[in-house]
Amino acid sequence: MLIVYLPASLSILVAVILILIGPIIAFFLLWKAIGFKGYASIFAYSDGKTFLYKLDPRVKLLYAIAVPALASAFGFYVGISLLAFTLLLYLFMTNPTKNLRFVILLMLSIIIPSAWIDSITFSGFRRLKGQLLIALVPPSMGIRGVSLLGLLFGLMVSVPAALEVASVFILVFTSSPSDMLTSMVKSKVPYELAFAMTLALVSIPKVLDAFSSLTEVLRSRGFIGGFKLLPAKTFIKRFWIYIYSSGIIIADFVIDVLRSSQNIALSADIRGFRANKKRTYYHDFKMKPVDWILAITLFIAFVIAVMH
Amino acid sequence: MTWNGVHFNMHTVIPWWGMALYFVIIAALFVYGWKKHVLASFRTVDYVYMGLLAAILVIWNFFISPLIPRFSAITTIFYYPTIGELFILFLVAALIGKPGSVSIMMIIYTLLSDIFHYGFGGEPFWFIYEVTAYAILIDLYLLIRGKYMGTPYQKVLSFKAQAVADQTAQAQAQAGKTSKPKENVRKIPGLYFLDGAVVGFIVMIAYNFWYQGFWATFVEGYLYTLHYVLFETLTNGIGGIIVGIILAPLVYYIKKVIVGGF
Repeated sequence: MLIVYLPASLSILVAVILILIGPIIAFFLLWKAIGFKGYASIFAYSDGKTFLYKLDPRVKLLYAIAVPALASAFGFYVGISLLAFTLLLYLFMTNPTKNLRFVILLMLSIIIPSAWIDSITFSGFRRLKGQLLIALVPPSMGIRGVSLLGLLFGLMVSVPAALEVASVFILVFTSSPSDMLTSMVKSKVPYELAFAMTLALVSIPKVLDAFSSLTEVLRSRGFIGGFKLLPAKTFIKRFWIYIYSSGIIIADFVIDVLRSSQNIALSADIRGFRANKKRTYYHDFKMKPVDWILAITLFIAFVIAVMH
Repeated sequence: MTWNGVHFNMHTVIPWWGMALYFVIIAALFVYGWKKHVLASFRTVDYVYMGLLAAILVIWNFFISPLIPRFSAITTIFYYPTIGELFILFLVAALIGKPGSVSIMMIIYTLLSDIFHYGFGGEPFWFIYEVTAYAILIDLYLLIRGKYMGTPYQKVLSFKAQAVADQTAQAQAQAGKTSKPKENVRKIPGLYFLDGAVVGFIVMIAYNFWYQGFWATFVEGYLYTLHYVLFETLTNGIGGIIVGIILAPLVYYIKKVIVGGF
């Protein structure tokens, strides 16, 4: 065990850095690997022919609810087995490599901060002084150091969260937005709510794209990037410009996204949105026997998990 | 005993009977809204606003907000990543201006955030938290402000003044000048600052008052003291009022551009 002796004020600083460093590193890893453009492209649905694409979206949603619940209820070994099985399902997608890469990175962005926070707070909460890898003396803000046992504990407890991401993206990657909308309406979700929900889902790439374009414009004009120490007066002036410009930029971004609202509403009205209480469908959506069997199995699994 | 990650711990700062009473009132409001066909009262474009702003909220909370170093997360004074959420909720209320709009958007957002990030552990209580902690309170404020939310205008709420306005409109209609009754609207300069302060206060105290005061204990089993919850609520409430006032002109500007007529 490495013991680091520090003055109290420096100990606070080290504790703050320890708290922040894990989440920031995880997010920047994801940011560098995927970026906004990557996020936007990931939400775009691409058609496929395998059994995953033929399953009813409701079954896939039930899978995303039931499987993480099972992992939470039955612990690490069940969780890791279900995670391996879920990742195996990605091989039956149209773009398995691209989708797997994205999901693994996204899982890491959840697992790393969780494990890190546990590694620095586990010892503080459980008072396991002997388990510390690096000890901070005096302890500050509940942080007593870095614990390997805490890190492993964090990795283990974040399996259900990772599984949640892996299972939900099966639904996102293999179901078209219109299928999701139809399946929601068929499940008696009010049509208006289903419409707004589907619109939100399909708008995520568009909004990300708008934000990405905006950051590119700002970068090209030298607004983002670069850090240098400035004299106090210049710093205050620059700071005020940043604050003021940020307001203008936020307004521009929101207006850019919302400007299409009238066209979307008009387009929906032209297609008979809410024209009649009952709608007919060109592509009718019915649960097949295999969907029913899977849905009932998953529902039973979910009930067992929550009752456990 | 736990069920779907819910601990049912009743050692909460807000007593269970207080929450029960609050839920009865909220449930009655929802039943009343359902009977009055609230969903049908929204225009198509209102649902589009809800969908687009729910998407912006998802992006703010899961893609942009994590970029902000959370120094404030380890202080007890002010949690500034919530500013984005406050801004979007204020914008929904201002753009749509109908009671129920914020609650519906939060239901959409909660479902999306459960799918993409949080998972369904603890549900359905997080839906109830998001809606009852702040969305429904902003909706109740919209009962007073209506479509003038986020602007310096206010419909005169006095029945007498409205009756006079209706009579004038009727007389004008009979004279053939206009066929549409006109609302009795008054301009109060800077009224949107009050809207910002109210929404800011409601949103910023939600985490400290409602979550730490009840839901964190009830669902996750975390325990808080009364003094801690009150101190956090007070400091964040003041912060919320200040941020709401700062955001108000921005929301008014966006409303003028998108909706027009103000």
